[in-house]
Order: sequence, then structure tokens, then C-alpha cells
Amino acid sequence: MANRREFLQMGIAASALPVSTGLMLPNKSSTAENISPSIPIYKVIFDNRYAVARVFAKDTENAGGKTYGIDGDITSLWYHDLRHRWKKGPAAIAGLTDANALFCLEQLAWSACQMHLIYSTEHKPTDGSKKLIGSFPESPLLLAAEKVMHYPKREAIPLPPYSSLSTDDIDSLVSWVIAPTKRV
Amino acid sequence: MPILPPGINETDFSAALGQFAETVGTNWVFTSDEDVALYRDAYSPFWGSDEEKLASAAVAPESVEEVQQIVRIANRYRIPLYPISTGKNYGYGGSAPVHSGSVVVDLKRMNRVLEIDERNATCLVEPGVSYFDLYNAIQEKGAKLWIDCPDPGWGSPIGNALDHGLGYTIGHFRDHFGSHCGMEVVLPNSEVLRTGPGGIPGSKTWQQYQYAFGPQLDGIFTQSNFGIVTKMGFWLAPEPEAFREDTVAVYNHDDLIPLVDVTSYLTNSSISNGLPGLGSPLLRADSDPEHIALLQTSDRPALERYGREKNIPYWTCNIKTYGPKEVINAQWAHAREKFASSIPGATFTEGEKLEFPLTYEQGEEYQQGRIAGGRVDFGIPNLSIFQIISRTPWNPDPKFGHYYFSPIIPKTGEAIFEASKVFTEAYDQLGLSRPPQGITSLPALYYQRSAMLLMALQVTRNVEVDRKNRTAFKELIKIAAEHGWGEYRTPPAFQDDVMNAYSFGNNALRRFNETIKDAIDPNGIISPGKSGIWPKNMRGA
Repeated sequence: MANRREFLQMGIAASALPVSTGLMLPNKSSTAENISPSIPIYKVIFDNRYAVARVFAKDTENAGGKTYGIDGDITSLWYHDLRHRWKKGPAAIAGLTDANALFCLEQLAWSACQMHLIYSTEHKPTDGSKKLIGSFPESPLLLAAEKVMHYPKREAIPLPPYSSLSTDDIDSLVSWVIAPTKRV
Repeated sequence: MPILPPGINETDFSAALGQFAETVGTNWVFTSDEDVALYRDAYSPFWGSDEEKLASAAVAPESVEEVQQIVRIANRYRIPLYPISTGKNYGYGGSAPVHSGSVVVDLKRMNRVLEIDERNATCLVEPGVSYFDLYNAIQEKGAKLWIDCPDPGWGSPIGNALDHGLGYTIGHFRDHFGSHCGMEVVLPNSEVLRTGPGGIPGSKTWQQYQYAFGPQLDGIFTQSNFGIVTKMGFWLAPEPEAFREDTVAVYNHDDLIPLVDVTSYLTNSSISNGLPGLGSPLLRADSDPEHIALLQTSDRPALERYGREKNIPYWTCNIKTYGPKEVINAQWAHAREKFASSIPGATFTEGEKLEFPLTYEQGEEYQQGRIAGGRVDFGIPNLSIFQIISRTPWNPDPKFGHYYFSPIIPKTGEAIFEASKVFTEAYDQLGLSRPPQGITSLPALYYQRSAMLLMALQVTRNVEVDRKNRTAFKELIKIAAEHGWGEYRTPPAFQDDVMNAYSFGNNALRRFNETIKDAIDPNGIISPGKSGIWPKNMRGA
């Protein structure tokens, strides 16, 4: 089985995520009653093995966000960072990783402070091309807000994809947001 | 609102939930769909089917007294409970109940490391303590002690030991139940029992002596539904001075027999105290077309010849030893001599040599390039194993997880050959995918005197494929039993089948368990169905 895949078409939602340092989702999340009124993103996680994720991280940093790169394994992220932060209370995270990393983070977030995966989109490769087409979203923050306000549908929301990025050995990646929700 | 417990009306269930909330606080009773969904088994072989085992709600107590009160309420309303520690038992059931509609008792808030005794190398923990937590507590105390952890470090020492879980370090510490010492259990009648010397008020030796006066009860609380364990002691390993890992390689198919025999001798004599690791480079196809072609045939002499010519061993065994530097060097010298005199043509490679302590960061460096193993050899918890769930021809969509068929077989080369033949044929008959040259599931040698096969079946989340795999799994259980092999652990989907395979004396084992269950839990509130032990009112349902 070929392990070199191409990462195409489905947009990288991640570049659109709201980030910390004062950036927050709008507090009018009326369509998501269970969600906290504002969600500062504590940190944005990216998988350093993939060029598309590295670009996404750079984009996030340019928007003022804090990022953390992993190499598939979330242990260091958990051990050196998140477990300390989440001892103080819930703090939303977002990212562009593979499904295994997201699985671990979703479980840890629930165990640590009852946070949920509130948004995720899988980005599957499409055979036949090694380029991503399209353009970057113009307003990452607005786009992120829109996505989170679709909660709790968890549907794939088409987003403008990155342009002209070479692909790596990607099977599929997931963009996601894990955040506190109001208890019901 | 998620499902109701079977036979419980909405009024009673609401009343019970209300009383749970009065006990633990409303924030710690989980009833919404999105909360309860997190107690689904992410690796469920039933995922998406009507048969999936689901919780009705979850409640998270913080103290033994709250656990007792939850048990009282459950008895009052006949609510089935399903206690979990950290709920990370993936591959063997996760946090989903055996009996759909049970209320999960999530013990994650009971996460105190109550004692670390460096002089006696013991600890006492609550069920919500993870391996990470215990490791950190030891580091913060500066104690020169090691934990022994399984691959995923987010699990609970108590939960893992209660399910007969295993680890990677030194000798008997790898057997997590075997290295426990003392339990506290909330019984189905809400009384609190302490085992071993803990039965003496103010005991001074609860974590130091495994037995008590009279029957040793601890075992009946493992893989069972006779109580909720709220504390447990463990023996820890004093930090060794050094470690070395060496490899012996042999080139003939039948060399596996003396290879395993010598390894057993070294293990049983404590000459090598680490986890031996069997491998077969020759059965692992590389890019050479001749090698690939040979693996498709049953021409064993030709394959052996190819291996010798190319210096590709048929079998290898990693020998790991912990202890003072001079001692382990001498131990390896003796081991090498034993292998050389027993297996003509054996070759040897000296591998990793380390001295301790290792910091967490040094452990991270050691892990580089490794997915399985690595830091866990030194009791450093991590989550690297989740990368291993990678795409292979036998695992085309890896993100949905797996579950293990894991029979225990004798620790001999002959038994390994027999099991390989039996299960290769079984896989073919059942239409299960397997590598071309036999199953190649070489056994794991966690235990000193037996071997364990670990064969993962994939969860596809295709209802029909998963149904076929479940049927195949049940057949594998029967085939194993026909050959005298039983499983050491299994997901809830197959616990009835495995218990039924232990059928000696007209299922005397299961009937005795049921007798205990009926006597101590007449309302059948604790984990009904766990390990095939059903309370009287649910048997045959």
C-alpha cells in the first residue's frame, strides 16, 4: 500500500482558528447554547511532520496565536504543557493533527476538566495531485467563529483550502477544537 | 437523555440520578448525550450497531463515603453500576459497561497518591491515579523508585491490575496484580472491606505483606463484579543502577525451541530479569524479490538457506537485564554462554547500555525513533503507542481501533509452533486477513512461565464487517479452548464466550462465581455480566 498520499481539496479549517493573546470567539454563540460565551484558544497544536500543518502553524502564529508542534505523539505536549494548564481549569485548544493525536487529546481533555470536542473536520487526501488548490481564508477569526457556532452538529464545513502546498506522507488530518461547554 | 437501565422506569431513574447528584454534586453527574458519549468504547466492536453497549449516565464520586452512598442508592433503585478507574482500557472495553444502561461510576476524581514508602518500595493509591500521576508523585518526592507501566501511561495502576494488565520492566513487577499488596473495596452492600493486613485496624503492614489470616480474597475482586476497589497498594522497584539489552540470533526454524528454553531458564533463574522479546527478521519480508517469493512458499529449507546466506536470522531474542553494572555484564556473559552451548551457530549483538537515573527528558530522547517499547522499559509513562495504530494492509483504516484475541499458551517453542499452525489455519477458515507467512504473532513473554499471543482484530465501524469479525473472534475462542488455551482478558463483547470456555467440571468456575455473586450482590448492581458473571435475575436473559 502506498503511504505517500496527497492532501487535497478539503480545506484546512485550522488556519481559521481563533487564538490566544486576547483573541476570542464572539460571545453571541446563540446557536450553541451549551458552549461558553467566549473561547480563548490556549494553544493551537500542529503535527510537525506535515508541511501543510507547518504552514498552518505559521499562519496561526502570524495571527498572534501560540502553537505547539508534535511529531504524532502528544506525550510531550501533555506532560510538559497541557496537564499543568488544565490543572488550573479548562482551557480550549485547537489543532491540525492526525486522528490518533486528536483521540488522545479528546480523552485527556474530558478526564482533566470535562471539555469536549466541539468541532472537527477530517481532511482526506485525493489521489492524482500533489498540490492543494484554492486560497487562504481572508478572515481566520470570523471563519473560526462561524465553525464553532455550528456546534454541536460536528459536520464537515467546507472551508477555503490552502494554495499550492506540497504534500507529505499524509493519510488524513483533522482540524478540530476542544473547548469547555456549559454543564446541562 | 441517553438510554435507561433495563427494567428501570424513568421516574425511578430520575430519582436515583437526583440522589446521586445530592451525593456528589450536580456537576459530577453526567446525563447529557454529549457527556455520556465520552463513555462509549471508542474501540467497540459493536460501534454503530444496536448491540453496542452504552451507559445510561455517569457519576463521579470523590471519596469512599460517596462511593458507599452511590451503592446504597443503586441498591434502592436496582440501578446497575459500572465502576471504572481512568476508563482507558482500550482494546479490552474502554469505559463502556458490559450491561447496556448501566451507570458508569467514574472514579477519576479519586486521584490521590496516598503513600510512597521508599524504604519498603511500596505505594498506596486511589483508582483515579494514572501512571503519569504516580510517576510524577515519585519524582516530586525524589524517591529512587520505579513504577511499571503498560504502553499507554494514562491508565490507572488499579484499573490495570484489576484487569490483569502487564508492563515492561523488571521480573514480577511486570505482573501488575501480582505486585499489588492490599486492597480496600466497597462491597455491594456498601460496607468497606480491607484485604490482607489491612483487616487489622491501624495495620502497620498493609502494603508489606500480601496475605492475611484466612483465605486471601484479593483475587476475587479482579476481572469481577464483587465490589468497587477504592484503594490498592503496590510494590515498586528500587531504581536499578544500570540496564543492558543484547540480542541473540539463530538461523534455523527449529532453533526456536532451545531459544525459548534457554530464555526461560535465564528468566526463571533471575539471570535475566527484563522482558525478553522474540522476533523473526526472516519472516518479515523486505524488498528483495527472492525473499518475498520464498515467503510465499512452504519451502522452509530454502528459506533457512536464504537467511544464512544473507545473514538474516530466523529468530532473535532480545535479552534485557537490570541491576548493578558489573552484575549485569556478568549475567549477560553467562547468558551468552548458555545460548552458545545450546544453539550451534547462534550469534550475538550487544545493544543499548544505560545507567540511571534517567530524567523524563532523557527518556524522551531515548524514545526517538521508537514507537512501541522504549521509555516503558524504564517505567516512564507515555502515550507513544497511539502512533502505532498505523495503516497497514491488515489495518487499512487504523483510526477506529482494535481489540485483542489474547490466549495464554505454554512457554515452549513447540507450543508456539502448534499455536501458529492452529491459528493460521483458523484465520484462513474464518476469512481473516493475515500476513503471508503465518500469523507471525510471536508470543509476548510478560509472564515468567507462560506465553501470550496478541492478535488484534480491527474495528472498521462497518457494521457488517464488524459483525463478521465478532463471529470470527468467538470461533477463535472455541478453537483455542479445544487446544487447551484460554484468554487472559477480553472485551465485554466476548466475556461470556471466554468464561464459557473455562468449562471444566460442567462450568464449575462460572457457577462458583455466580454463587458468590448471588450471595454478596443479590440485587445484581455491580457490573452485571462482567467476565461472564451475571446476577441471578439476569442469567439467561
